[in-house]
Amino acid sequence: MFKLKKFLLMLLLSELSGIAISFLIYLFSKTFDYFEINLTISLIFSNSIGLIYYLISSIFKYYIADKLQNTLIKFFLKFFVLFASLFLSFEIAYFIIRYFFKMAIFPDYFEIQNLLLVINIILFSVLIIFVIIYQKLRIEIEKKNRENENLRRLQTESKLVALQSKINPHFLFNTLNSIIELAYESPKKVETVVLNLSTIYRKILYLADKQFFSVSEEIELVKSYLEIEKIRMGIRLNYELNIDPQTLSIKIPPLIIEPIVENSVIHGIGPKPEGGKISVTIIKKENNVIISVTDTGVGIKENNLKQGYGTSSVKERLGILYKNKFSFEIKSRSIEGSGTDVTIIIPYKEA
Amino acid sequence: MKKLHMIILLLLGTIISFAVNPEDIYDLKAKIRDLEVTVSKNPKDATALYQLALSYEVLSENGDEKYLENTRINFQNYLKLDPYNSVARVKYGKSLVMSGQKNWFLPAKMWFIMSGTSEMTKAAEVDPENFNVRYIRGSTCFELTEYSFCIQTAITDFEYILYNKELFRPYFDSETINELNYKLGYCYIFTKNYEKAFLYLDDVINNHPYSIYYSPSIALRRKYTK
Repeated sequence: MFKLKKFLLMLLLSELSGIAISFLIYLFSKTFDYFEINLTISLIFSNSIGLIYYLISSIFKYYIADKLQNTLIKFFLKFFVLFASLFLSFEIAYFIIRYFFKMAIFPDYFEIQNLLLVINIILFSVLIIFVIIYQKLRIEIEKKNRENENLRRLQTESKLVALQSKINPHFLFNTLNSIIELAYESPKKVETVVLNLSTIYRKILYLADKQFFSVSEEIELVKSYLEIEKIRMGIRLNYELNIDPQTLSIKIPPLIIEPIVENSVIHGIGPKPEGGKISVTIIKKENNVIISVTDTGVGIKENNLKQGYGTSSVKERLGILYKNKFSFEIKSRSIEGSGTDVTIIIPYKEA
Repeated sequence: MKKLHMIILLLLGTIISFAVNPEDIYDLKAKIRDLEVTVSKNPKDATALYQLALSYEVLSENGDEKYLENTRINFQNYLKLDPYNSVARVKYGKSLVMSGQKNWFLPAKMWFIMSGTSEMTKAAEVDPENFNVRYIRGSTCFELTEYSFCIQTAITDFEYILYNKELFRPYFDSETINELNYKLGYCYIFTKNYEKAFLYLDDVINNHPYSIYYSPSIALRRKYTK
């Protein structure tokens, strides 16, 4: 805590300051008479201030300053240390002169001491307020950083899950087989399928940089996916997109509708021999956007309502972005095997 | 009531303007100019230097720092030529103390007070039986009640004058005795020696009801009587 080199430097500075004070006294008095008094007063003042400053600043630096990163607080701390040193050094100089040198040269009133005490109290209070504000801000920023980190992680994981399902051999082989069949039966449709497939991969790959998609972008992805699935499943899959044109420019988190639609296709319509219909509806109501995905698939049994990774990731991301201002609901219809309703309500956010 | 205050204020203003006669100051400034010329021609003219210092001292009574500095410098120069003039030395000490009271720089303030009181002590040591030396030192120290060591010096000097009042009779009148009694009472109250303080204050209260120190003495007495 106390370094000899720094102490010697401070001692040297104190002596030099003593000479400077002595010179200032000479400037005021314009005489070298009573030079011993001049020098004694100067050295007592400079050494008291210098040594006390060294002592206090060393203690502060050792215990507090290194733990502070904020420049403004450090600046105030330095001011506080300086004024606290001045206050204490005046007290010590007073004590030394009065009790050791038996020279009561200080006035018995304490105006200077009181002034320094008031300055110290003000500076200390300001410092405390700054530290409290700084700590609160730091906690807030750390919390935000953690949330952002979580969001990034979840987004990456969502992207990976979406990609995994799209490069899964079943989906890819089926799509490729469909393309081969179409090449013979309806060559014009091949272009559409290939374009849809490339849209899916492009959207998923490049969403990592975006925190929000527009509804139109998400719907394009959903439509491309459903179109491919429709070629693969044929008449077993029907779909309907009811998008309020007002909502097309609204910003929503990416990949929140696609995983739900994918669930409906794989777990709802897929296992049902006669197939079914998926409806995606997006409307704006007051300050909210209501997204609902319904299917007429096999539905989910009450005890299987526990969500898979796709939907749980959607819910978690919505939680980080909208706190408690959103709702995510999965409902299986009352008659068994008649389908599932998923409803998401999020606050309205214009592009 | 407000009108009465206004009349009193106007009367006071008139009295003050007559008391400080501008013609006297004009004469004094003319005298200083002449003395400055003399001193510049002959810097070792002790009489001219002393007169110059005394003239500046009169002008510095109102606390003008420029005159105070000139008083100090001229007394200092004079004392180099005549170091045994105890009155000049005590006045030099007083000018140092007054400069100290005006100074804002604490170390310089301390130096002025310390060297001023040292000069006054020197003067009192050289000429302890001189009324002027004792009176000036005591009065200067009385103005420095915030410095505890000055109170004791003021008490010593005032009591010395009072005990030897017959010796110093030619120098002062009964009003000066009242002044010293009042000031001693004040100093003893400051040192919390109320018994002695009341002794001095009672002397003014009981024997000099027409003195200007009568009312302040009564006020002090009442304030500190249990």
